[in-house]
Parts: sequence; C-alpha cells; structure tokens
Amino acid sequence: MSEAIVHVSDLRKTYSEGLVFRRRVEALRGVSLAVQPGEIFGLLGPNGAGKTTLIKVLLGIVRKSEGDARLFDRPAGDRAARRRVGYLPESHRLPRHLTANTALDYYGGLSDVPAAEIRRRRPHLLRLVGLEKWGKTSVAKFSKGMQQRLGLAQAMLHDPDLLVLDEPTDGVDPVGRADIRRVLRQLKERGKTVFLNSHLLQELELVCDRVAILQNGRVERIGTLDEVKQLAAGGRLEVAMQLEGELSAIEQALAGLDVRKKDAVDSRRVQIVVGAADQAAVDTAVDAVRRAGVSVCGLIRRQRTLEEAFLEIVGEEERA
Amino acid sequence: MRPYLAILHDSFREAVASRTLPFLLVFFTIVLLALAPLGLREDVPWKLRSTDIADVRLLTIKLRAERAGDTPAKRVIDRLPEDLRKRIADPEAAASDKPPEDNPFGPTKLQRDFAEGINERVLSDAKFFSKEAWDEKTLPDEAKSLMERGVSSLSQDEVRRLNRLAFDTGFSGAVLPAPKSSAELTWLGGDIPLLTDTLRQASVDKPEVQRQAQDLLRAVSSWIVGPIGLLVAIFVTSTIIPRMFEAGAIDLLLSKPISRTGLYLTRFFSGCAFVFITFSYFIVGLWLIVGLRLGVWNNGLLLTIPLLLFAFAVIFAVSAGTGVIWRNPIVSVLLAVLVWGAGFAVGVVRDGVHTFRNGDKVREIVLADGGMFVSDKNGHVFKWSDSTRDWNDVFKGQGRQMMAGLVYPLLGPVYDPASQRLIAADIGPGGTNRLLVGSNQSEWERADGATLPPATRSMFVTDDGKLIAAGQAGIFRFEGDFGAKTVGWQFWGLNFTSDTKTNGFVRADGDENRGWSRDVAAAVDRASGDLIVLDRGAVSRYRFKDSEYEKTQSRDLETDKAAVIGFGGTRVLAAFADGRVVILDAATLKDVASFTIPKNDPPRLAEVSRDGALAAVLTHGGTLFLYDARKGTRLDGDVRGNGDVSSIAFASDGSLWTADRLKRLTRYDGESLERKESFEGSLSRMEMIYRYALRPLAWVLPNTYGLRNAETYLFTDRKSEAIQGPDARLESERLTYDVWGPIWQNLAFLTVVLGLTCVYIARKDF
Repeated sequence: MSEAIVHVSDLRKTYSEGLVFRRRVEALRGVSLAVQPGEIFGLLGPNGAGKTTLIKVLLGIVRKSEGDARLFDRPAGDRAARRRVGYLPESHRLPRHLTANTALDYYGGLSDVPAAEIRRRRPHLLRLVGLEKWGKTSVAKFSKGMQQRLGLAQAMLHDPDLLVLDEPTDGVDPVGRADIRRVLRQLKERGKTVFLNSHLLQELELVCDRVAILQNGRVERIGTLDEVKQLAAGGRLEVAMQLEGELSAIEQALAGLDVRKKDAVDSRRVQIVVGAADQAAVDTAVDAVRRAGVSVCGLIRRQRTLEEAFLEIVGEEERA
Repeated sequence: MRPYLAILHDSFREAVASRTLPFLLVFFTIVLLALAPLGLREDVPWKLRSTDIADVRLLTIKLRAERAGDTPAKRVIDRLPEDLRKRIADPEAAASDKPPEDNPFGPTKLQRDFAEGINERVLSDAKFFSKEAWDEKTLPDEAKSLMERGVSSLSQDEVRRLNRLAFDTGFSGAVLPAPKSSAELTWLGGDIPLLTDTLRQASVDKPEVQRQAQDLLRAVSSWIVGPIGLLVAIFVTSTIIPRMFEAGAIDLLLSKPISRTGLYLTRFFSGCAFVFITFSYFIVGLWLIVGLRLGVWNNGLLLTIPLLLFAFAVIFAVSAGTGVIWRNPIVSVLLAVLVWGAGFAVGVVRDGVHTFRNGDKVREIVLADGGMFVSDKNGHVFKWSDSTRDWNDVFKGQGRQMMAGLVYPLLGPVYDPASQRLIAADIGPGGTNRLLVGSNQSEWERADGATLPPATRSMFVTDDGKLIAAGQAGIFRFEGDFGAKTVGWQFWGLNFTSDTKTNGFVRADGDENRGWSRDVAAAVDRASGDLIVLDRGAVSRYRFKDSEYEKTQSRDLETDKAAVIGFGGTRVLAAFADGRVVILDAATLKDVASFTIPKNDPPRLAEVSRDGALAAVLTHGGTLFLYDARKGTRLDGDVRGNGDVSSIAFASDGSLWTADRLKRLTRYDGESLERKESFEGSLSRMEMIYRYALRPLAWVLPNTYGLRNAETYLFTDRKSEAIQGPDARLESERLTYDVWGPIWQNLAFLTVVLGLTCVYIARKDF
C-alpha cells in the first residue's frame, strides 16, 4: 500500500433519492487519487462535481458504494483515522449557544483533547485566526467570515496530521483570506497535509502543490499546477510571436506549424500563437519563419492561469 | 469517554443558554416556596361543631327534661343566652328548624346557634363541669385522667376538653363525641386562605390529615408531574436532537472520533438527565416539605422519579427518533404527543374494557355429575355444552338485584351430589341473602329460597348432601326447606332480610353464644364431612357427630392475619394475607411444610385435592402456586395462563382444573400435571375486539397510562386493592394492578424505538 495519506481508488458513490419513486444519482464515478504527506492538495470542480461527497466518504459521513478509499492507510471513516483529521465543513453551523471559547472546549472535547490542553491552545489558535478579542462573544453574533475562522480554529485544535477544508474562505474578506493562506503555509511548513476544496481558483493557485479537477464524479486532471495548466493545453507549449514581412511569405512560413491563433495587425504584421511539443520545436518554428524571410519582432512563451486551464478542461468535458 | 462527556456537558450548556433549565428550576422553586409554609396544627379538640349536633331535636328535649337539680342540662341552660333558652323551651322551634334552601345538607340555624352558644358560654367556662352534676354519668377514661390532675392545674384548652367530654357524655345520642385529636393544615401558621369554613370545620385527626396529604401527593405525581410534566418535558427537550442533526452541524460532529450511535444515545440520555434533574429537584423538594412540615415521609414519592423518567424516556425516544429523520422540533413534538396520546387513549379504553371483562371472568368452577358449571364475577352461571362446544347461560331467574357499577359474585355455587342440585347464595351488596337453587329437572333454572345465616362467608356441601354455612355468626347446618322464604323489607329499592332468622339453618358448632371473628375461614372435607375452621390464628378441626360439630383438634398458629383455607383428605392448606402458606396434617394439625408467596399479591383461594395429594393457592393477581401436599414441596407445573388464572378446582379423580382468560377451563392430570383438555367456547364481540384489536394495538404503542399501576404500587406497596375498601375480607374481589406488564411493555417499546433509530443513524448518509 502507498504511503499516501489519502488514497482513493475507483471510488463510486450512488445516492438513492425520493421516498416512493427512487431515483439514483451517481455522485462519484470511479475516482482515483492520492494525497502525499506534507502537500497542500486542491480539489476543483464545478457545482455537483462530487467534491463534498468525496470528502464525506473519506471522513465516513457518507458510505461509499464501490471502490476503495483510505485515510492514513485505514478504511475511510475509521475512527482512529478520524482522530488525525481536522475538518471544516462547507456551510457549517456552530451551535448558537456557544462562545468562541466554549465552542473550542466543545469540539476539543469531541476530538478527545483534555480540557487543560484545550485551555492552553485556545488563545494561540484564536490569535492565529484573528479572533483573539472575540473569545467570550457568542457565536450567534459572529459574521460568516468569523464563523469560518472559528471553524478553522476548531479543525486545528487537536493538531491533526490532515486538514480537510471545504470552502474555507467562503464569506471571508480579502484580509482573512490572506490570513488563511498564511496559516495553510505554516501548516505545510510543519509537515501537515491539507486537503482543500474551493471554488476560488486564484486562492488555490496561490497555495496548492497539486490539484485535481473533478467533474461529473470523475477526475479530469490531476497533477502539479504547471502540469494541470500544461495539460489543459493538450500537453504542449504555447508561444506568441509577432511577425513582419510579406503576407504571402508569412503564410508560407506558417505552413506545417501548429498555429492556434492568428491576428493581422496591419498589411505587413501578424500576431500568432503556435503550439509546440517542446523548446526544440519552438526553435524549429523560429528557423522556419526566418528561412522564409519573415522577421520575428517579438516572441513570448505564454503562461495559462489555473482558471483558464480549469475552464478549458471543464468546457472540453461539457462539449464532449 | 471524553467526547461523550463533552456532548453531555454541551447539552446542559445549551439548556442553560436557552433559559429552559433556569426557567423550570425557578418555576419549581416558586411552587416549592409556596408549599413550604404548609404546616399541621394539632389541636385539643374541644369545640362543638354545628355538624356534631346529630339530633338537635333530641338535644332540646334532653335540655328541657333534665333541668331539675344540679344536672348537666341545668348547667348548660344556665349559661346559654336568653334567646337560646327561649328556643329550647319552645318545642316548635326545633321541629320547624330546617337547613337553608341553598344548602339542604348543611347545618340548620339552630345547630349553628347552639354550637356557637355552647362553645362560647358553656365549654369555655372553667366552672361548667362538676363531679356532682355528672355523678350518674360514666365519663370516658380521658376525662377521668384530666379530673385526677385537678381542674386548677389544667390549661385552658384542657379545661375546655374536659368540658367537651363531659358535655358529650351528658348528651350522648344527641351529639357526636369529640374526636380524640384534631389537626388541620395551616399555611404560614395560619388558616389556608383557599379553604372554606365548611372544609375547615370538617377538620379531622392527624392521621386522617396525613392520609389526605398522601392522597394529594399521589394526585400530584399522577397528574401534575405525570402527564402534564411529561408533555412540558417533551416540549422543552424537543430541539435537542433536531439541532444536532441539522445540516452543517452533524457532518462536523460525525468527523470527530466518536460512534454515531454513541453520539445519538449520549444526546438522548443528556435529555433524560436534564429532565431527571428538574423532576428530582421538584419531587425531592416536595418530599422534604411534606416530610418536614406534615410528618409524612413517603419514600414511594421518591421512587416515582425513576418511574417518571422512564415514562419520559419512552416518549422522548419517539421525539428523538422523529428529530433524527425530519430534523424539525415541531414535527418531533407533534409526533411524540400523537404517539403518547394514542397510547394513553388506548390505555384508558383497554383499562375500561378490562374492568368490564373482569366481571365475565370465572370465579367458581363446579364439577358436577351432570356437567361442568362456572360462575363469573358478575354472578352469572354457565354450563358447558358438549354438543355446541360452548357455555350456556343457566341458573337464570328472578331474585337478584344489581347495584349500578358494582360487580358482585354469588356465594358458590356448590353442587349437592345427593339431591343433584346447584346451590348458591345471593350475598352481594343489596343481595337478598337467600339461597338460590337449581336442578336438572328445572333445566337449571334457579329458584330463591331459604335465607342464609347472617355474615355467612363460606358454603359447602358434603358428599352425603349436608349443606353447611360458616361465617361470623357461627357454623350452621341446613335442615329446612330450600323453598321457604323469609320476609324482608325494602329500602331504596334494595331488599334487606332479618339477620336473626336463619330459616332452616341450625347452629352446628355447639356453642350458641360463641361469635367468630370477621375474618373466620372454614373448609370442609367433602368425603368425611369434617370441618376445619381458622379463626383469630387458631385452627380447629370439627367432626360431625350427633347432628352437631364437635371440636376434635385445635392449634394456635400464632398469627393475627386473615387467611383462606382448603381441606382435603389428610391435608389442610392455609394461605395468609402476609404471604405465609402452611400445609398442615389434617389429623394432628401439625406443620407439614411452610412456604411464602409474594405478600403484595394476597391469596384469594386455597384448595386441596380430595385425597390430600395436591394443594393450590391462587392469588388475587391470578398467580397459581402448586404444592405436593404429601411431601410438602413446591411443584413447578406448567399452568396455562398462569398470572391470569381466575379460579381453580380439584375434581373427584384428583385432576386439577384451572380457569384463565374469560372462560377457558383447562384440565391437568392430578399426578403428572400434564395438560389434558381445554374448554373455551365462542368469544363475545367485546372479547374479540379486546383480543384482536385493542390488545395488539396496545402492544404497538407505548403504555405510559399503565405505569400508573406501578406508581400506585410504589405508593401503597400493594399489587391489588379491595373494591370494598381496606376492611374487606381476604377473598373479596380486588382491583388487581398489573405492575410489571406496562413496565416491560414500555421497556420493549423504548428498546425498539431506540434500536431502530440507531440503525437508521448508522446507515444514513448525512
């Protein structure tokens, strides 16, 4: 068995809905992925892709239908494995009769942390999430962002090896989001593993080591950020060039190249985007242009954003 | 363990934060504070209440008639005001004295004026009583002891008491004697504002007030803390489970290292703990108040706490299960109240039907040459028909009267093999006290005839046809004509006959002057005609000789407990009210063996087979205890419907017959106790509804109504209560409480509902 902290193989989950007329909904259709120790792993996907279901299966909140899901090399949902996990659910609801302090007491107790240990860790955690002045304030008076911060604090209270955060920045202001990013990086520095599920792709791009894109219950892409972005481009490099010369010569020079985009600037200048398998292929393309007597006025290796890659991948899938 | 304690802790934090717990505790504190000043004021009862003047006319006559010399009457009249003296002197004043129109049962004006005048002017006067004036009267011991102390050394209340005792003696018959002690409830040391003067005047002695306080406590725990408290508790705990299972809350909890069922059950029990604390606070407070203030230390009240908690847990399980599925407190409350209400309603209906059908149960089994008879608790007699395989109503006829709502059986019937007649007696309330006789010739139609001796308790027929009646008045042998009637009189439509005319019954115990106690028990050995009588703890054997019964053996069993007895061949069986059962050798009356049966389920019937081999005790609760009377050992026979057995009998061949359900008779072999045959007959419509609709329905629903039985048992330590009150005889019909049935039923319901909810939670995707 792998050393991965999270290991999922051909995982399937089918819900049955309706009391009388039962309807089957396939939420996961053979998901396979692994999360290694110490990495921040992002899970992306449109609404209904199966992200939350995958997390719930891992934590034993939802039972799998088929396949294998393991946490810390134990079956998903195993109580010993859950002891090492800190979880922040999406749209979580903290009991309104609690204050920030008593909420940490309560969830700490549920995580089997001794009361003295909770009291010792509480101030530090509240400071970490920016709630140090709100310890005695009722949760009922907390904004959505403050509740998220408190939720993050309770997830970290028992110093888990794995943090599973479902939309942790939901409702959090930009400063708070930066705070959360900072916390996640600190966790990574301490060797903790973070399994992150978010819609905010920019956020993920800033912190994740690897991501997986989930759509319709399947993993569409998985890898490092660069790999995913590159994979979105069909696994090829993209180079933007501005060419100057006779248009007929330019047309002749481009024959045989993987031209993905071509825009005429004026009667002698054209901007193109060329796909290439690697740097040698880029050099060959430049040589071909030069041999045709066309000048290369500008050349830029093009960088895709995660969002572009995500939209491209999701769009491809939807078109398929 | 720590995670579960965290859940428990949080439940209380939530209860406090929601203000439910503080509100209930404050509310109960206010109620307890309001009750805390309750007290018991004991008085030396000296005041003459207007209702103590039983016959105002007689009182005026006595006052007028005994005025000459220094008499009590003169001493009273001399002290009364002029107005009252005139009214005493006028015979018409008392004759025309009527109660007020708005209170026809209340005291008259003359009664009130007399009471007021006598209290103020007569009883309060230290010089009212003199030895000389009461020289011819016999004063009670209490008055004598007060006199010995000397009037001058008595307190004012003691002087008044002496006066009152003297007054009662002087005018006995016209006034009711003063109670030995009196007490009344007080609040803050004074009168209870809400008590009316009439109620206050009706104040009684301390034990009676304490008994009333006990009844009040029982009512409080039955209703205020029972159904009402239960519903309040369901309301206040309705959010505990749904909130925990709300989306966004439950997935966070389920991610923690705790089990789902553990999470649910901890939360469930935290709701119970919350109710336990509030109920305990109130009930313990109540117990302390009535104990410290009224001197009533009823530990049964404390035992109602777990009972109430149990009843709450049963209904809360429904509320909690609903909360898990629908996650909505309103739905939880509605469904819980609906289930509780349905269970309560079915319990009430079942109880009502149960009372009705109880009257249809067999009370006597008569195994005659010509057939098999049973009589039920309503006094109806049935004969088994082999052709229709059913019970036919026989022994019908005129002469029995029913008092509405009162169930009363016949005495007997017994079968006279010599004349082949069925003989019973109508001795119930309002009964004619006459023999009822029917025979095969008259197609078992009954005719009423001779009158029984007064207070007859048992009636037997020996094999040679001697009819014997035994009771408080003695042992009588019938020598007369069954058909002869005694003239009686009627009052409010009920027949009464003279107690003294026995009309054919001849005293046969050789001692005309001897009186037996109320609890005398007798049994006959039908073969020999010998009689065993147990009275005031002494067991005696009588042998019939020269037309009289002669005592041949006697022994003191050293008990004052009432008993039922059986006699057959060589053995006598006595089962006492305190649960002691003894088997005696019939010849020597020495112990063969002794046993105990539960003392809270008193015996109703004791029977011994004709050869003295088997003995059986049947309790009011329907439990049958069998004994090998020869060896003196207990037998573990597999008796059908044991716990619901209503009658037993031994046939001449030694076989045992039992009756259970309504009229199902079962015959067992006398040696092996193997079941041989059964006779049940067709079911009435009511029985079918009871058996196939009401009872299954009651088993599906919780039976919190039935827990009242356990509560009554905790208060009284009795599983049954005599319908005719605490002074009823041991074999008299009793209301039997099914104490454990509802407890097991509710426990099964609780287990099933909790179990199903746990299975649901374990399998549910949240």
